[in-house]
Amino acid sequence: MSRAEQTAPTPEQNSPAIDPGYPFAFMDEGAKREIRRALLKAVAIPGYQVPYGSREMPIARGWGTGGLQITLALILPEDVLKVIDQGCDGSVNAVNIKKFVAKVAGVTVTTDTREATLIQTRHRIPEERMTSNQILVLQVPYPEALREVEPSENETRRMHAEADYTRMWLHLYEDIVRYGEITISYRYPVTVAGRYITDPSPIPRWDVPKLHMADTLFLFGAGREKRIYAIPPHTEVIPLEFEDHPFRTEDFTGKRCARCGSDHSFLDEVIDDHSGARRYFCSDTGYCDKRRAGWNR
Amino acid sequence: MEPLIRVRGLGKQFGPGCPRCLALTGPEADTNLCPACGTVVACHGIHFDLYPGEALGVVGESGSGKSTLVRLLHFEWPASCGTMEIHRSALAGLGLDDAGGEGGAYSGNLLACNDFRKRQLRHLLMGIVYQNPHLGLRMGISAGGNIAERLLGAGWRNIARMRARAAELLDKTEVPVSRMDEPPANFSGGMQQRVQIAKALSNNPLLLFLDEVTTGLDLSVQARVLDLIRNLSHEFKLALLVVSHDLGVINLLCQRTMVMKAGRVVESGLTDQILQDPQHRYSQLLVASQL
Repeated sequence: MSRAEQTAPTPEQNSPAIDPGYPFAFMDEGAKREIRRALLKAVAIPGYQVPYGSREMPIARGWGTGGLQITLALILPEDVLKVIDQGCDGSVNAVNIKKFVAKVAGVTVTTDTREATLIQTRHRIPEERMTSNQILVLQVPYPEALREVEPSENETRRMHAEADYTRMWLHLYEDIVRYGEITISYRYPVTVAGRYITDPSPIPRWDVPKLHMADTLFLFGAGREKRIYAIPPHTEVIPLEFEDHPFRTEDFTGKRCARCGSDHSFLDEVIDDHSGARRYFCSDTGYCDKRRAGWNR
Repeated sequence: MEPLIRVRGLGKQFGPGCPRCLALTGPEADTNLCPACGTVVACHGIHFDLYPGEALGVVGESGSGKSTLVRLLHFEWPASCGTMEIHRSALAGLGLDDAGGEGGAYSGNLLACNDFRKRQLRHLLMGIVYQNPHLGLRMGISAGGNIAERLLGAGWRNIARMRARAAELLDKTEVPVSRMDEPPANFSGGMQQRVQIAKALSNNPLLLFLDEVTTGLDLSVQARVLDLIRNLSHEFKLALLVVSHDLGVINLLCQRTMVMKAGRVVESGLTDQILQDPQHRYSQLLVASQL
């Protein structure tokens, strides 16, 4: 059964793990249909923020409800789910969301990026290159990339409609004049398919190039702000840059993960409480575990 | 030589409008407020040509529709009626060749373009200097950034080149280049006005609107700003539309002048002619009241 043909399973199809007190995947079919429709529109207009009626979820708004609603609207019983929170499979929020979806949809869960068919994430894109059979759902706190320069929603909508992005560029110009380079560390604005300036969610700069011409579908959900947008596969995603000040990612030259020895992944800095020594660890724990277990050595 | 822009029947009304609005307002009625429906006829039936390199003056008392005229031509407010056409030679090479119209030497009505196209035209062809620098400048952003804003709008994406251009313009307008990265809020009124002029000139406009540029500046600064405008307009071959209630400014800058009263043009012609031999009663009053 393809994702497009998805219907609510009849009770006898239900895996025994599903909590019988809820409809499949928690949300009612009308809500799922609305979200899928918003997703289709978002894919059709890459980078455009589609408004939708964000539903009440059993977690608070601002804790990943936007991503969760997309996950629930898409999930199938045969899906394999991975949930990460800033690269970590084991954080409380990731574990709770994973348990919840497993309970209401009866899906298998994993920490292995390669095994997963659907990944919900907060603030990171996995290190391993994702394939065309996978979907990455990103949780988004602030979907409006122009909010930094313009507080009014009416005005930012007009700016998007007319592609009037001068003020965003001016913001970056001032940054360079003042500090010698663009100081945005995460939520780095990108131009999607040559049209909309889009917020890639608070992923580090490191992950921004992974959005460009990817094989994977990226879906963005902002539950509190009630917006859905998408970057379809094989879409141009160009970070805002000047000819003489090109975009650059975080530099980890000479640093390695203290756990798996990786010198090519996004690293978290950890300062030892007692000795004050700095150590670095892979931010993507699933990837780190895999390397330690001997994969790709 | 053919005019750079042609403006025909331009008008702007604020309010519901009624069939009697036009008959009940204007210089004869000495008001622009329609007594029947309360509509303000801010300006109506404006008709003029502006030639390349020429300075056209617009004089009149406050409320006569001078600034409204500039705001309509600068696409800040939508016009109620009328057309504005630009000579196609001005659009050549700007990627704006599809500005409408049926071939011929002039584009279609620019006032009917969509907002996106209007903004493009504004960024590529026009500059404006307001009476109040707060309208033309972002006070919290560096002077260089203010100039770069126009350049960024016109598609520039090279910081070093934009800064070189900003420095060049600030130098021309006699603002110390060393203060380029300071916000204009730190500057004196005259300096702010000169930064505004630099900003307006940054994209090499063909058309520059000056809306009461010297009002509020002290006399010596006024003279220097006017001098600067005269030199720059000569150097850059700018077509100027100079709005002022000060006949001295008009006399200094403009070859031709329109006199406005209650939203209508009551007299137009050569500046010397209007100042020496005003025909309309209101122009006579205006000239006579000049010290």
